Amino acid sequence: MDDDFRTYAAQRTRWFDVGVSSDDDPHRAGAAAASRALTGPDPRLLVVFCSIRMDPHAVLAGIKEVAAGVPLIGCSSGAELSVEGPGAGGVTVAAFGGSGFSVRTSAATGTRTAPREGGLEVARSAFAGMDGANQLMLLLTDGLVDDQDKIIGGVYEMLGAGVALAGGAAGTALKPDGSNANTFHMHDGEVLTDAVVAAAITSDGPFGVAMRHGFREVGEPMMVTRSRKGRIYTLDNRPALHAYLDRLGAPAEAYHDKEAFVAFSRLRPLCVLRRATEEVRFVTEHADLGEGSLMCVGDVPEGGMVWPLESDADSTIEAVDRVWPAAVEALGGRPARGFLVFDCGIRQDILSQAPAGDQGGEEVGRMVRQAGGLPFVGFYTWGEIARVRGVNGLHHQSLVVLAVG
Amino acid sequence: MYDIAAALVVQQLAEFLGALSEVSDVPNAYRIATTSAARALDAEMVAVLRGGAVAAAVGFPAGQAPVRELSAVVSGERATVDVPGCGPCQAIFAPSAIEPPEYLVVARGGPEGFTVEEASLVRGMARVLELHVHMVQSLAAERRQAALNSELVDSLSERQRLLEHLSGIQRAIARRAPLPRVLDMITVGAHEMLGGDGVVLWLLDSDEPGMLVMTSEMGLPKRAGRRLSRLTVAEAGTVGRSIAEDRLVTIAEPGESGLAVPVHDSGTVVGALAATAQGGDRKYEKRDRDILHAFAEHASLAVTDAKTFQALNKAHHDQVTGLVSRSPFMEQLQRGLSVAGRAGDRLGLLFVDLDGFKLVNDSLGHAAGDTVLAEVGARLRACVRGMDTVARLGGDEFAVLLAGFETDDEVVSVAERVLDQLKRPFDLTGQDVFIGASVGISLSDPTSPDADALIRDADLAMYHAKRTGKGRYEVFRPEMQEAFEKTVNLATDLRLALERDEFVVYYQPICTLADGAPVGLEALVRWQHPARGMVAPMEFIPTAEETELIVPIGHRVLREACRSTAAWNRRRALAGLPELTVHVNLSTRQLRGDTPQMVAEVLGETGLAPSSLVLEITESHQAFDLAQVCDQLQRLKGLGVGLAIDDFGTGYSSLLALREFPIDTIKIDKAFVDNLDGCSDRSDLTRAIVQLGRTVRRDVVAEGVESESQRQALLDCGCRLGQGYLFAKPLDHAAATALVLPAPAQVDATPARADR
Repeated sequence: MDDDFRTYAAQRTRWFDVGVSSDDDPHRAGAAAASRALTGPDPRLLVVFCSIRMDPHAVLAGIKEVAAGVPLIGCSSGAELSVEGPGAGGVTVAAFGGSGFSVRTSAATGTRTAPREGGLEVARSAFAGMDGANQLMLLLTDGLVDDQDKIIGGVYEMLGAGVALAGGAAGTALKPDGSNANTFHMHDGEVLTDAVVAAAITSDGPFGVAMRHGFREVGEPMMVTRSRKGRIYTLDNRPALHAYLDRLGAPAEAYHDKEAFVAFSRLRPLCVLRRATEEVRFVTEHADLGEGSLMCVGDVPEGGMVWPLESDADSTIEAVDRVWPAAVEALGGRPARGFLVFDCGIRQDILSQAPAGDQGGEEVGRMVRQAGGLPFVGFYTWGEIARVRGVNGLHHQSLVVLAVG
Repeated sequence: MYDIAAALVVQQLAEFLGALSEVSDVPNAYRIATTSAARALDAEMVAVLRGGAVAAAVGFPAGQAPVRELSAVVSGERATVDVPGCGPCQAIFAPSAIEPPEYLVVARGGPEGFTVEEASLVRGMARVLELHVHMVQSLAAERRQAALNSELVDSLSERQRLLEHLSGIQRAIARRAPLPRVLDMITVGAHEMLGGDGVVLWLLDSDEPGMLVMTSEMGLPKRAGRRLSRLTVAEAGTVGRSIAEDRLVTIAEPGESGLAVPVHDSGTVVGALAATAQGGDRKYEKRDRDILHAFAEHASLAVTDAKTFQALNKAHHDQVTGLVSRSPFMEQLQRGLSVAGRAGDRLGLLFVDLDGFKLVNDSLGHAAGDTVLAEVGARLRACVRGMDTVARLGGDEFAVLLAGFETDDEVVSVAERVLDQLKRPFDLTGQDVFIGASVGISLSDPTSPDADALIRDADLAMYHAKRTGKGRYEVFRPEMQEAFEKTVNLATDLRLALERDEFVVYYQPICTLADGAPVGLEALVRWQHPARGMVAPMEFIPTAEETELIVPIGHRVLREACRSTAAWNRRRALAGLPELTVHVNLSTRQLRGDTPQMVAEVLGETGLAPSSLVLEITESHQAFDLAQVCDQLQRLKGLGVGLAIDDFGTGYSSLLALREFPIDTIKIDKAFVDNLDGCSDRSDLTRAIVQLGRTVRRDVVAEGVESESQRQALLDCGCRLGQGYLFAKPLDHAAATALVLPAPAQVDATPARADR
């Protein structure tokens, strides 16, 4: 664990800005994005979302040229979000600056095999000795970790209810051989793999965290009559696959053709009913068409209730209009200085595959409008983190916005 | 429409149970319980209070759960808990039924509090947690007990394994397994029982006092094993001390620990069994010492037993072949006959006598002879089953005792295998030597368990086999006994006949085929038996050969023939007739003695010109010392006598004899002459033999010429001489004299002149 504790308490000012570069040269891209973000004095933290296609070492070297010694966390992404629109191949940088922010960064590796321990590690002593009424831990986890909720659980165990959590899971992209490229993380001057990185931030101002998804529940909830872990065998005592496809009015080929099933199901998750929230469960390609079972990412407990969800480009985009005000509202009337956006990669798919053509630009346009001229950057994530209340902080196929007050 | 609130309780309780079921220790059970409950109830804080302390909590910074505040909640003093970042949160709790009581405390922000279902859920969770913790604790207790049981079982199982090793070693000793194998069992067993430590058995070298030989090892690093195969006692460290002090010695030094236990032979230290562990921190305890002691005692037992058995064995076994010797064999045979007799079974006995072994022993020496005997022993053993017994009765005689056979054919099969095996060449340092064997078979009579009789019968059968051609087997038949008795009687009679001078010489003329004029005579022995009349040679020559009476008989025939021929030649010379040659047969047995000396003496004694004597030898297909025979024949040749090969073409090595021996005359066997009466291919063979004789410039004499056509045919193919009934039967001395000497007037005149 690398603790880099810095607190600044002199002027108690705060600023937040972003920089973007789509320069093909990673070194130049890193330097350019960072220098555009560094618009104020006393930078306290850089948050970097770097295209998986770029050499992270070169990007870091470029950033170091313009921001040597500034604490930094970052991760890989399949595609980045900024005021310029959705991009795939660039570098986006958010900078927190001024003495009103106190920051300590941390990192842990090995989360693919010991996720809880990774969470405990990055949170241990994260806020020790830091003052400020508003505490936030910005977390960048690894999208290739199966049990990301255990990372969040570890963090919560260590920090308790007093610290808001926001962030997302590092994304990746397919390599030419069909496998996913390995994700990476950045922590100060280092590039890590199989890692989680965190920034413990205290601020004189508030943080607003909000999460929404753009799905609609279809019909009545169904009871999970037989399941084990993420595999659902029966819903309402019927083969789960048939109950699910019937409810959603799936095309005939989705019942017997794996490819058709995957094309259909990946945009239609299940929602596990919670007391106050809904947990979205992505339906994976590991469904068994023969036995009629579904496979989800995350547990679907037997005896519980689930709703099949559906969405379209419009509802996906509309989520922006619902989450953004919620994030701003969470600032308790204090003005926002900018935003970080963690938008699920599946939502990007929904938009890019919309019948009317790629609607990704529409979504970002909506974000631009909601931002109202304030800076924002983000990336398409493989898991979204937003914990304001309770222990549940990991979400799927959602849009999370962090408003920095 | 489902009751969603009720379904939620079921779902959340199921999730809670599912999460708990993955943990198997109490602290983690509490931790998972707090997290899962918080997740299910969207709670900011969940804690487990146990015995006035916080067993687990979530929602507070780690380690900062306010125990006093939480205790106040469970005691009913407070209804809220202050959670950092959330302010006062509504709290509920549920107690467990165990002592000390556990409390599951849940707190959630917001004003609404908990529903009835949620309160029910919390109680359910507390109950599930209590049951799970109880189960985990029970399991832990069971695991501890199971570990204890496992240790007990391990201990019993170890004792069982030790006993198995030791009883296996005892069985091997009792079965007289080879000592090296028993010692290997000891080191392997100790190696295994000592957890894979290196185990070595060192024994003092009986030839080199003070030197230890690594006799068996298991588990040593290969290099160490090679490096340490021999050591002096002084060099041997722990082992040396154990031997010198006759006690268990241990060593415990950094990087190496070990122990050594002395091994005894009849109470005297003869070595040590040692165990060593390289590296690590191996400590040898009482258990290890006991184990090594047990194995060392068994090593002592094995060594002592092997020495005793070796001594016993030496007395009972033939040292050359390792086979049972005659005396214990006879005892064994007698015991076997009694047992078989009681069971109504029969035993089979093979009496094996080597053919031609004496020649090997005489010509190549006793060492070579012993080598052959040892190999014969090994081949015989290979012919039989493990339960059968092979013995060396003495000399070149062996016996094989067979039991448990179904049919007599099985015994015969063994005899055939024995003959086949002994027919194969024996390799004497690169030189192939061929011998063979004759086998006699006797089968026991269950009603008459007589070992001597069984041996005698097999011996007789063997004798019969040998008499009838060697390299054969014969199964004993009662008539063999009669035949044997006849032979014994015949031998007695032959000795008497020699004493009484009952052997007479007959002569068969050898004539020129062209005109029938005699040029020589073949001397043939006849026995003038006082009771049986004239006995043909075929009836007594084989016995004479066997009893070696052929030597004095042959000597007598030679002397008589030389004397007569000398007399005839003197008289023929007076009559101006050419000298006759006399052909005398020489037995193979006669050739083993100093024949040239004997012949020279006879020639000197009788006055026969050496050139008038032709000695006929017969080819033998049995192995003989070619060099020795050649030497004898050369010396005879040196005397000036002629040499003829009799029965040419019937032996296996006719051409070899022709090439190797200094032969002057070939005598074609009657069988070839008989062929000349037809126009078969075999007459061509006869012609070829004659032609061969002429080519190599040897005189050729055709035997058994009986017809004019044969005479003519022989003449036609270039043969000059012959003998047979066409010219004359074998004649007694008077008739022969009449044939070879001139008319009486001439005869009378000639001696008269000579007398004058």
